[in-house]
Amino acid sequence: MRQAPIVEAECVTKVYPGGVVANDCVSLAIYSGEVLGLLGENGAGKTTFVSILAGVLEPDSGVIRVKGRPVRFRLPRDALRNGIALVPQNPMLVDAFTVAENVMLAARLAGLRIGLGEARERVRELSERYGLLVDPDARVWGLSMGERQRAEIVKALAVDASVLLLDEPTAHLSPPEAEALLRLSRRLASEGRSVVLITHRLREVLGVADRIAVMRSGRLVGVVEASEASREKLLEMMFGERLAKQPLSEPRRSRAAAGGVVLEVKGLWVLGDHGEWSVKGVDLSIRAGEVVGIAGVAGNGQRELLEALVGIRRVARGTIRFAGIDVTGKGPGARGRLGMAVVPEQRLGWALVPSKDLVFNVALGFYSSPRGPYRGVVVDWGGARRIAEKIVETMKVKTPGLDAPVEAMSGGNMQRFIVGREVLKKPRLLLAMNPTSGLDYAAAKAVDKILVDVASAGAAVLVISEDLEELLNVADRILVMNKGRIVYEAERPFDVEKIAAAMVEEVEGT
Amino acid sequence: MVASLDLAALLGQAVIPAAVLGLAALGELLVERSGRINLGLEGMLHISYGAAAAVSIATGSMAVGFLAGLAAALLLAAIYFFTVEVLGVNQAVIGLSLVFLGSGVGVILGNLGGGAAGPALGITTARVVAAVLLVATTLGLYLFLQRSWVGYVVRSLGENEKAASMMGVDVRIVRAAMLALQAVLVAAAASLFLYGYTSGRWTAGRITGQGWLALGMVILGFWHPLGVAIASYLLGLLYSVQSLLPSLLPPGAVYAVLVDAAPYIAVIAAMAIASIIYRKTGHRPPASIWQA
Amino acid sequence: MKLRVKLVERAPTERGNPLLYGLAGLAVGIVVSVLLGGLTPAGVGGTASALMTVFGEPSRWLSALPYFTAIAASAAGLALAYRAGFITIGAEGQMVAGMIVAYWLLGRVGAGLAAGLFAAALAGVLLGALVAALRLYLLVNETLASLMLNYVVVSVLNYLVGGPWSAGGFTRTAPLPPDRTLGVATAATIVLATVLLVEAAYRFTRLGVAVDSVGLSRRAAETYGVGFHKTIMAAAAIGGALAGLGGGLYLVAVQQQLTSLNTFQSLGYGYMGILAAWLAGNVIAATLASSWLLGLLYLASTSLQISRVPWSFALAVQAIIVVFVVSAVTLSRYRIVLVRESQ
Repeated sequence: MRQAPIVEAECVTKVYPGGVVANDCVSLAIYSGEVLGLLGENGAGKTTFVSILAGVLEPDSGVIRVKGRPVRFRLPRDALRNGIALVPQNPMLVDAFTVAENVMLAARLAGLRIGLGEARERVRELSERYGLLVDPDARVWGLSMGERQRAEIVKALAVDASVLLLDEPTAHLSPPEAEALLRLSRRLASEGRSVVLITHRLREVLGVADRIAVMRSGRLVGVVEASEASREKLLEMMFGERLAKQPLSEPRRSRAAAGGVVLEVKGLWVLGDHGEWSVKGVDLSIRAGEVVGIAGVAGNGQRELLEALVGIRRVARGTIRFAGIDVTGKGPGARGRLGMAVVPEQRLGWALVPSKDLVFNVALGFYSSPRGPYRGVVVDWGGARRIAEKIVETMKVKTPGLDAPVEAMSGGNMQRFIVGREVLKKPRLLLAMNPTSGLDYAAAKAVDKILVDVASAGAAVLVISEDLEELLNVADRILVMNKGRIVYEAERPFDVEKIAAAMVEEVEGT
Repeated sequence: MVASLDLAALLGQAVIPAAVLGLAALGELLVERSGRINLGLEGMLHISYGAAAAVSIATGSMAVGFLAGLAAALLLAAIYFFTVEVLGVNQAVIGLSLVFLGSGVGVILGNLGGGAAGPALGITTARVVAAVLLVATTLGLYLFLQRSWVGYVVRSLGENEKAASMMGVDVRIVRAAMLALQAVLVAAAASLFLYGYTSGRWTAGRITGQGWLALGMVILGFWHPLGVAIASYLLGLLYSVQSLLPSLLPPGAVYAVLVDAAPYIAVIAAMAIASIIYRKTGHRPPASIWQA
Repeated sequence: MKLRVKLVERAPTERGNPLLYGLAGLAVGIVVSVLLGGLTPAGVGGTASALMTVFGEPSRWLSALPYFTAIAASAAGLALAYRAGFITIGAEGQMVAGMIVAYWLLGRVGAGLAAGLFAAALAGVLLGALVAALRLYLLVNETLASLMLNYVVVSVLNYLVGGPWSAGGFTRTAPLPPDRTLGVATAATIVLATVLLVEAAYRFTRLGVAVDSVGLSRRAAETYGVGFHKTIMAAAAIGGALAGLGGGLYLVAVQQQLTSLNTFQSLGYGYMGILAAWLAGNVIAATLASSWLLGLLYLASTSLQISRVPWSFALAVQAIIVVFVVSAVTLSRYRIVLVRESQ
C-alpha cells in the first residue's frame, strides 16, 4: 500500500567533537501521508537525526534522498526547498518581529514570493483552518511557549512543507494543548503530508503514529507498525537490558515532619524582560526538610520567580525573607552567604563558565558560600581542587580531568557536577530549575534522589520543573504556577488531574 | 537680518560634515543590523581617505580616486570578514586592530601623494553632492531595511542569528554583503571628505575621529536610517558652529578647551541622555548587539 | 566535483598548541609587514634591514625600554579589563591625564616624586571609573566613551601647554627640575613590579575569579554572587591606575616636560597597549613580553623615520602582527578539512 518513500536516510553518521557518536549509521525512510513516531530517551540521537534531515547539521557520512534523488543540505534553506521543515523543540522565531513577518521571511527564504500582506492572510487562514489560534500581528516576544510552537507550525505550513519534523513538540505544552497538537499531526498526515513526531512519551506515539522508530545511544533499534507495537515492546527497545534493573517509577517515600520556615515570600511582584508583569503576587513558604515543587507550563513566570529568589532580578513589590532575614533588596552574594544554593535552568553560561576548568567552576560556585575555598580575598586553589575532586568522586562525574574545560563533558556529567557542587555547600536552601532536563533516565533519577536526600538532611528545597512526573516523585507539596500566579496548592497524596487542570486553566488577567 | 542669514549659512555649512558622518554611520548601521559591530570604521575611513588622495593626485581623476578608496575599504572589510566570520576571532579585537592598521596604512598611502593638491569639488557642487548622497542613501536604506524583505533578512540576523539561520538565512553571505556595502559608503564618505571638505588636499590625521563619531551616530539614531541621518546632521551643525564658539561664549580661557573637544563631549552626553530615554520608552536596539 | 575548504572545530582536549600557532602567525605577520614597507620610501629592503638591526642586535634591545615602560603600563590594565569583557580604549587618555597631573604637582606645585606619581595613578583611576560609571549606570558604550575622553584629555593638554603652562612662547612647558626626574630603568622596574603585582592579584585573589567569570559568563557570575558592577568598576580602576602611573613615569623618566599632541597621533602608547593586550591573549604577565615586542617594532620604525617613513608605519605593523597572531591562535582550535562536493 505504501509507495516509494518521500525522504530516505541511508546510514547517516554524525560524530561530535570529543568523540560522542550521536548517530551511528541510521537508516530510515519516511513516507507520504504518515505520522512516524521517533522514540528514544534523551541523548538517543533523535534531535541530531532530524537536524541532519533539516539541513541544520551536516552528517559525517551517509546519504539522504528526497523522492529517490540524493541531496546534500548545507543549510536549513536547502531542506526547506525540498519541502522539509523542522519545528525545533525551542521555537526559533525572531522575537522582535510579528508572526506574519516571521512567516513572510521564512517563505521568501524558501523561494516563495509573498509580501507581508499575503503572509498575514496566510497566517490567518491556516490558523483558522487548523484551529491554531495564532494572531499574525502579535510580536513573538509576547507569546507563550504554546503560541510560539503553533506559530512555528504555521510557518512550516505556510512554506508548503510536505515533511514536518516536530522535535518534542509537546515538551512545553499543557495536556490539552498537546492533545490538540497530536490531533493536528493526524490531520496533516491525512492530507498527504508526512509528520515525524519526536518524543520520549510512549503514550503520544501509540496514540497517533502509523509507524514507530526507536533510537537508542545513536542507533536505530528498529521500526515497528503502531498496530503491532505495545508499551512493553517499545520500552524494551528504548532501554534494552537496563529496563530489568530499574523500576520506572519509584515508590513514594515518606518523610519526617518539616522544621522551621527557611524561605518566606510574600506578595511578590516581578517584571519580565519586556516590562510585563511576570510574577503577580506570589506567596510561598518553605520549611527546612521539605521539598516544594512548582509546576507549570513553561513561560508562566517560573524563570522570573527563580531569578527574583536568587537575587538577579529586581523585586518590584513584596518581600523575600530567607533564614529569618529580609533579603528583598540584597544581591545573590548576601543570599549565598546565608546558605542559598542554586541549580539554574541552563548549564553552560548560567551555572558554569564553559571554557574554564572544573576547579575554576568550583571557585565560582562557592564564591559567596561560607564553605568556599577562600581566606578573605585570597583564593585557596588547593582547596578548590579538593572540592572538585570530591564532587567528581561522589557524583561519579566522567571528566577528561579537573583541568579540562567543563564544556568538554557531556550534559549529564555537567549536571551531576553542578548538583554535586551545590549540595556540597551544605545549603540551607537549594533552588533548582528543571534539574533533570536533557538527562537520561538513570542520571535524572540520580539527581532527583539527591534533591530528596538534601531535604532529608535538613535543607529546604524548591524544585521548579516543567516535568510534572518529576515533581510528583520528589515533592512534598506542589504549587501550580499559571500566568504569574500560584493558582493551586496540593499536598500528598497528589490529585494529578487537579494539578494538570490548574496548569492550563484560564487565569484572569492582572 | 544678519542673524537669519547666518543661520542659513550655518545650515548649508553643516551639510558636508553631516554627510561624511552620516554616510559612514549608515554603513555601520547595516553591519550592526546584521548583528556585528565593526569598531574598525575609523581605520576604514583613514585608509580610504589616504588611498583616494594618493590615486586622485596621481591620476587627476576623482572617480578613480574614489575607486581606489573603495578598494582599500574593501580590503579591510575582507580582513574583518575572514577573521571574524570565517575564523571566529573576537570582533572587538579585529575591529580595534583594523583601526590601527587602517590609520597606519592610510598615512603611508596619503604620503605617496606628496602633499600636492588633487582634484576637488567646488563648494556649491560639494554641498549639492553631499546633500544628495546623504538624502538618497538615507531613503534608500530606509526602504531597504524597513520595507523590503531582504531588509527583514538582515535585521533577523541582528535580532536572533540562530533563528535566522534556521529559517535559511545564509549568515555569511548576508554579513559579507553588509560589510561590502559598508565599504562602499565609507569610501563615499572618505571621498566626500577629501574632495568636498579638504579641497583635494590630504593631511595626515585630518579625518581623525570621524569614524568614532559615526559609531556614536548609529546609537544616537537608534539603529534607524532616518535617526542616524538626523543625528549626523545635528552633529554637522555643531561642527559648523564650532569655529564660532569662542566668539559666542563669554570670554574665558576654559572655553578654548571645550571648542576642540566639543563634538566628543556632546556625543558622550547625548549617548547618556539617549540611553535613559530608550529605557524609559522601552525601546530595544537589535538584540544581538545590546549589552546591558 | 568541487573542493570546499572547511574548518572543523576540534574538541577542547584536542586543540593545537596556541603558542606554536601564535609564533607562526608572528612570522607571517612580520613578512607581510616587510612587504608593506614596499609602499614606503624605505622599500622592502630598507624595512627588512631596519627590523634585522633592531631584533638582531641584543645591544639595541634596551633602547626600547622607554616604549616598553609606557606600553606595558597600559597593556596590563587593558588585559584585565578585556578579561572582564569591558572593551575600554581609554588607556591613552589616562596616560596623558597622568602626565598632566604629575607635571602639575612636580613642575608647578613642587610636590615630591611619590606624590606626583600617586596623583598620576589617581587621575587614571578617576578617568577609568568615569567610563565604567557611564557604562554601568547610563549604558553608554565604553569603547566610544573612552575613546572620546582620550580626545578630550588631549585637548585639555593642548590648552595647558599652549596657554597657562606654556614656556617661552612654545606649545610646551618648562622641563621638570632635575630632582623630580627618574632614570628609565627605574621607571621600567616600577612598571614591571606593578604589572606583576596585578598578575598576582588576578591569580591568587577573588579578583581573578570575578573578572574571568563576569567576562565569560556574566549570568553564572551573578548567580553565584560575583557583583557585575563591582567587578567592572574594579577592573576599570586598576587599569586606570596602571595607565595613569605609566603616564606619570613616562613624564618623569622620558619626556620630562609636556608638549602638545595632535589627537590623531596622540602619545600613542595607550593605543599600542591595546594591541599588546590582545597580542598577549589578555594574559596579564604576558603583556610584559608583548609590550617589549611592540616596543622593539616601534624602535625599528623610529629608525626608519630618517628615511621619511611615516611614524604610522609602526602602528600598521603592530596591527598586522596582532591580526595574524590572533587569527593563528584561533586557528589552533580547528582542523582544516577539504570536502569534495558533487553538484
